[in-house]
Amino acid sequence: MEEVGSVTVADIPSHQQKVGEVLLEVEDLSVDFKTDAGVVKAVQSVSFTLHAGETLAIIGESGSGKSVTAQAIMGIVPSPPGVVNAHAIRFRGQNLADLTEKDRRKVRGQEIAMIFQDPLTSLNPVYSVGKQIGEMFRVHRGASRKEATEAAIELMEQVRIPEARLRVGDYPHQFSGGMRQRVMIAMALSLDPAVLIADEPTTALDVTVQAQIMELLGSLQEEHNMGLILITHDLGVVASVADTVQLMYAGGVVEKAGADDFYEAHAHPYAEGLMRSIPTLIGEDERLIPIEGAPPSLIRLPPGCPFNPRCPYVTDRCRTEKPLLRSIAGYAGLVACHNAEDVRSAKVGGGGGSGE
Amino acid sequence: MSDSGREGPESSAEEAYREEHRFVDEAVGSKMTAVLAGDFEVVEKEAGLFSDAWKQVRRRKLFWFSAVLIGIFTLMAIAPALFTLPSPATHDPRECSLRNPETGEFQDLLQPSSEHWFGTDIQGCDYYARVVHGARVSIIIGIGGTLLLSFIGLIAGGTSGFYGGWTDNVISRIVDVLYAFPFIIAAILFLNLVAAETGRNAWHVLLVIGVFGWPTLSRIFRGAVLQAKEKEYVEAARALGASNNRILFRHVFPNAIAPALVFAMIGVGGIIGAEAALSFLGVGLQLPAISWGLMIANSQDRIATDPFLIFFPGLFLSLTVLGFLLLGDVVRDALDPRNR
Amino acid sequence: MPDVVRYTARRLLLMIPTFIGATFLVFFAGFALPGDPIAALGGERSMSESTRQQLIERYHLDEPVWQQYFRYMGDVLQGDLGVSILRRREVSDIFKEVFPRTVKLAGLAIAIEIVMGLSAGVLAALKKDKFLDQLVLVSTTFAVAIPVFVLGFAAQNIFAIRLDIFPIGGIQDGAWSYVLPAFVLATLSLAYVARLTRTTLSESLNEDYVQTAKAKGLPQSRVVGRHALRNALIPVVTFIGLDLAGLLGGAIITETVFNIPGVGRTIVQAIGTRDHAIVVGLSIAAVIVYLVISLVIDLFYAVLDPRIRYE
Repeated sequence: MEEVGSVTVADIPSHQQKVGEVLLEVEDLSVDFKTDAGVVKAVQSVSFTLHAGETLAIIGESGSGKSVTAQAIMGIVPSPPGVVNAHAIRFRGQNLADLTEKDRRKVRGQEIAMIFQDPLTSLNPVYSVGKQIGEMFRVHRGASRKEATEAAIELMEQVRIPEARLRVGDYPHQFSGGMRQRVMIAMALSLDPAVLIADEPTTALDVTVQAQIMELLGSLQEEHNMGLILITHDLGVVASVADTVQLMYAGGVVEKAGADDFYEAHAHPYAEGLMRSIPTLIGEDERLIPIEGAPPSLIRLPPGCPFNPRCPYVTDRCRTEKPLLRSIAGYAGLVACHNAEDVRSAKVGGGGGSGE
Repeated sequence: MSDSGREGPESSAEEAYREEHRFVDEAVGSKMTAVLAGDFEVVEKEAGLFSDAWKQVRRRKLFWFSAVLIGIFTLMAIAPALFTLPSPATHDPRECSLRNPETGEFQDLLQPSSEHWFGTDIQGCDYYARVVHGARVSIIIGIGGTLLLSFIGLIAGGTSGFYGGWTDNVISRIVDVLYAFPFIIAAILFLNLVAAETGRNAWHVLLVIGVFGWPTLSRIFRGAVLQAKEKEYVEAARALGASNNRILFRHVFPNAIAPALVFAMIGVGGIIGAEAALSFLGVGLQLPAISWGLMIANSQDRIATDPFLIFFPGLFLSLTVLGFLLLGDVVRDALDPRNR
Repeated sequence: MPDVVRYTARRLLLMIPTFIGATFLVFFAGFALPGDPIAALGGERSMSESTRQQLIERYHLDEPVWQQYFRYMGDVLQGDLGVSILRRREVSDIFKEVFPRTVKLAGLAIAIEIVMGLSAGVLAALKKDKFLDQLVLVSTTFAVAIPVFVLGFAAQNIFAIRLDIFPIGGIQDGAWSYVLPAFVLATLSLAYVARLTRTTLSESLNEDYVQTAKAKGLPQSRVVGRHALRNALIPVVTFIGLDLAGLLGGAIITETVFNIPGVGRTIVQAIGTRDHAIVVGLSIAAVIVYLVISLVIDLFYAVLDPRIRYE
């Protein structure tokens, strides 16, 4: 943890296109799960900042720690077995760890809201959607049943659920996947939160619906000037909406950059591998190249760089010394790789441009 | 009738067991556990289910405790002499006399002593010898009844689940009928009829338990078969042109058997309790048979004066049931994929 | 709601064959198996030729079994359960007399089950793998292992004879007489309720919607009570309902041990006196009670779990 502890928010290059108020600062967050098999290091010293109006995409495979990061910010990591350690998680300058559980709960849901991957299992099957949305007003605002229902209808209309008034009493299983996710969004946005964390919001949905949901999220974000943390493994989703990108591998951040920079010129071998393994519609006659190997066990991480067993650029140093996030010449992002320069040059060279 | 029915295997309590042990269900746990278990370890090996279970079971103290209990009482059923040997009193449970043949003193209803470890009953029989000999009937009926009801239940449930359609409909209706017709009432009515002509023995009781006891196991197995049928490997086998029988016995059956097996293990305890309950009610075994339920029934008027007459057979009975119950519990934990 | 109506109708239809099958079995076992049905009707008393004739006429014993059955069931549906010649009483009268006792016993037992079983289960689930949880697991295993009648005698010996808190049996002490039997009767189900609640609640605490509830910033009590427990209770309520249905048919063993003249005890006594009219009449009544209540449970289940209605 201490090896990378030196990296703080100050080091992050500020290239946000829309710089608003700083909403969320995460400093040196680690999460462990104590299991029978050993300690699972799910998240290791993750730091980032989120501004109003900004969309931060946290990208990674399942098990890379991206969802656990979100849970840690929300303060809902199941404990036991989870143990959260952070230098600070600040919301509008207030360290959340210093709050009482009661005050923390006020932040949760009202200020920082979250939507989950599978809207079917994330909605309670035995309550009508209206009741579940309205519950936010009942609990946090002390609204009457009637007021809560009215508010729920209004929100359902806002997220463009047709015939909201008729459907407010329906149960989750009576909705389609996309409509359920709209319900989730309505619920998350009900108290006008400053930060919305969307954990794989489109993964469980049909491709056509995915675009609608992303569009909805985008326009709602703009409307409310929210900070949005978009957690996904889908680089395609990220490209169109993200301002900042943070790439995670095996619990740690391996690259962070402005979205445009990242797409143009990422510097980590893992990022490169990911890019090559996604199909592009506009792509030429390019073959998809999968990344060799599998993500490491988070209980027994390989020494040195966690990506070293799969890395085509691997050197002896990678097998012993863990790389820290650093900036490299000619790239606006930060990258945790000893050989980032080589990756960049190889890429530029391979791209048919000027070599060394 | 359910307090008694619940000692039998078909009561509503077992219905709950079905619910409680839906361990063939797909992993319904949280995303969280799914992430932890799925991504970090990636365990998926149905084939090794039983050998894995054995490895896990072996490590548990509770398993050895239940194995010892079951071992002791099974041995007692097979060779009661081994247990009566060290007793200073007579080893024959039927050698009873009101007076001691040597001293001429009355020896009925003696309290437990170094001579008669468990005392003597109203006819002057050595109670220790009787209680030890009571194990045989319990174990025979418990295991035999379970085998019989499992046999019927597996065939009914397997057919029902695998073939579906009208077969399933007919069998399911029969199961419904037997559910609505409380086990204990069924046993009472039918055993009562038997008694009228010939007098009852262990086989009658065993038969009635088997014939009326299968519906729960059948339901459990049907459900498990239905789920196993939907699995990809069954689809794959079907696509490869495997015959129905092959699919059933090679693919569906082995994967669906676990919950039925656990139920049967726990069921042995339930049936032993049921036999005792029927004998207690006077519709199970009859004198001169030696059965714990019968001993308790014959002593119930003496609960105030000679409680040991109820205590000893009650204790042996409870320990036997406990043994099978714990074994089932341990095995269930081991076979439950959620506990991996 | 039309869905609810359709669901109810389907349940009712499914119940018809079950009802016929179960009552026929009772009838068949009671009256129609080999042996002298007249003697069976009259118990062990000798009877005059004229009584014999009357009985043949009344029960249409010269007709085929299935005809007798439908005739009998026709009477049953009009509230006539037959006549006990031995006791010279209508069986339905006897039922009216003994059923309230069974209701009292069953009701009290169910109340104990709900209060103690649910709380034990909830505590165990919230403290999973801690001491309290282990305690609940161990004690419920023992509770299930001890047969009801053994437990009944043990309770009598300790609480009635040694401590002299409760009457040893009978119903002379009014409501108080039912307390000890109810505890004994409840023990087994209580153990099941506790274990079932523990399992379902700890499962539902891991569900995604509980995660959502936490993310909504709801207080812990609401997350557990309104979201997790509400779902966890669906199978528990079903179990308790079916248990009640069974218990209302007469807790044969408990009633026998504690000498409570309810439905179960009356049936056992009637078997002793070979009074088949009572055995069959009360058994059929028990079956009907069971079916009606399980139907109610089924419908209630649909209320509890909205997914069921739209299967």
